[in-house]
Amino acid sequence: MMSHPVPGSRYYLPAEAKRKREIESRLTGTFETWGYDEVIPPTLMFAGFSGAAENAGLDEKAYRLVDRQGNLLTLRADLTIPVAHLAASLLDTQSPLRLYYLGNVFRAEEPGTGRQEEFFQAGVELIGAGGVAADLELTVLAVEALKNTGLDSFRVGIGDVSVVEGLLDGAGADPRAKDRARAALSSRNYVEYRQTVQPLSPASPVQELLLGIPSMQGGSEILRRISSAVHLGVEARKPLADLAEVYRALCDHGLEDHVYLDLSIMRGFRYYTGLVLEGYVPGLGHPVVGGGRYDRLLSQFGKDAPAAGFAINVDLLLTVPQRQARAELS
Amino acid sequence: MSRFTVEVHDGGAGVESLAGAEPLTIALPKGRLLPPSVRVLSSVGVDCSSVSESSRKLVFASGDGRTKFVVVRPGDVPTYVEYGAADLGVAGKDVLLEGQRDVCELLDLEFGACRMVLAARKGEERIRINGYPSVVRVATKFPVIAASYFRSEGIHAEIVKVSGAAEIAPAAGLSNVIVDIVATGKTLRENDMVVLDNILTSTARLIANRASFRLKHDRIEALVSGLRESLLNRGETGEGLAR
Repeated sequence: MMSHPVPGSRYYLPAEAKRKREIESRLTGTFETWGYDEVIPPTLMFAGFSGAAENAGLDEKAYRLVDRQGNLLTLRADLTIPVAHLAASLLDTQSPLRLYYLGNVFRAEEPGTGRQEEFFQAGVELIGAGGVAADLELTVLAVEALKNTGLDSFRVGIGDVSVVEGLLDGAGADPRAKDRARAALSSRNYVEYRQTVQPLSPASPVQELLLGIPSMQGGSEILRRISSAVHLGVEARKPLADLAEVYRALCDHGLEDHVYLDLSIMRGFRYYTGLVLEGYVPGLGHPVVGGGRYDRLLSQFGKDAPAAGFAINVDLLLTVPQRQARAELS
Repeated sequence: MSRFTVEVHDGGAGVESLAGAEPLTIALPKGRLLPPSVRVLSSVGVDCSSVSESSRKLVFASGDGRTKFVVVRPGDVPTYVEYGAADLGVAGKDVLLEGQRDVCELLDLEFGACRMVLAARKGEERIRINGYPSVVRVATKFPVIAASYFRSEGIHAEIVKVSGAAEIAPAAGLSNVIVDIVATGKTLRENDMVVLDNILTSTARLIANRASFRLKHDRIEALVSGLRESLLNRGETGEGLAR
């Protein structure tokens, strides 16, 4: 018998378990204050029950097993897809839906990467509502939820995947070049991204914007650049204007210390269709929160409705105080 | 220069303010790529004078306290960067492809050029044309790259991972062919090996941690712009930035 934990999984000792419970109850408390109701999806799903997991790049990371009838099953690799599945059946009676979840997800990693394979996520889904108001609600809730866990130095960046989409169309990119550019951006390979964009309508304002995407991060100066780009007359006009509106509204809410504009955020581009957000904490190498708008997801379950959400990595939040303590020591 | 060079200033909700006072940590690769990495960084004003490979120390702080360096095995640079143990790093494209680490690839530094090749012993150079045995055995330090190459060729290959000196594997009877890095080709010649195919060309890349790329954006962006400019100048004057 193997007496050690499976690599990538872990035990939570009493002190950690207590802190984890505390963080979770602050997160779920915030979600409930905002009118979100909890749902609990199952852990086991039929493999390939939607193409959505594949589009999110999660399919290859899914743990697979076989049930007693020989059906291929997967352990859930995220909670958005099962919650969206559930929401599709609820939408007939209520819209919009505000749902939250808290649970473990499983993602197989290569041995030796040191990545956790089972970890906890707390997140929300806002289903049946689109537009600036919904995007704003989602971003404010992400910031408030992180704040209420006691975190004060963090930044949530907002971008929009359809901006690049529109700019690429505006620059006359063919489907192959578009795919290459988007794939390079979402894998954060900015060398390949620039090589792909370089030959597209050279020296045009649209190309300059495209080349600048990875470094379009910041506050008022990026807002100014976005606002002037709105007059270019490209397909990206609408998402740029909406993004600027969301950012201004966030500043009006007094959140300018915690949010910034970041057009380099792409996440999985096949999955997301509009606003995307990622949150960072100094000293942590990975984002603590990620999400955005996925308006095509519900159609996989037979409903045509806008949807957006985010997931907070509870395990990563659990490492925050230790890290900060170590930084103070050194 | 692109007009989109970001000026280094705190624009209202600048994200920099959070981590502004903290030093930037750069992971540098031991060995062949270390001297050109130091030269390139110094050329844009990064104080690298404390970095030395001969010392047993592996962590160095710059005199001005703005930068910290960790000098690690080349294959470990992306690992340090993925976890945020270093904000930036210099790594070969070969190492990046092999390691599959989640990092931002910011800039092609254009030095450290080498090729990843498929090679066989002299006398067996027709193995690729005449047909491989039903299972071809490949010795390599780069199993991920080798496996993906043979997959794309539609060849069933058994990959044998070695830690170095793959060029002796065929002579010793360990493998039919090797996949290895070639800078000058001297090692292959000395071991009676010939190149059968070029798999990829690699150069050094500047990489960044995902979170640092956001939280220390202004400093990183200023560095990248400076490097990009000096690479451009080098292209125009034909002078080596990192010879």
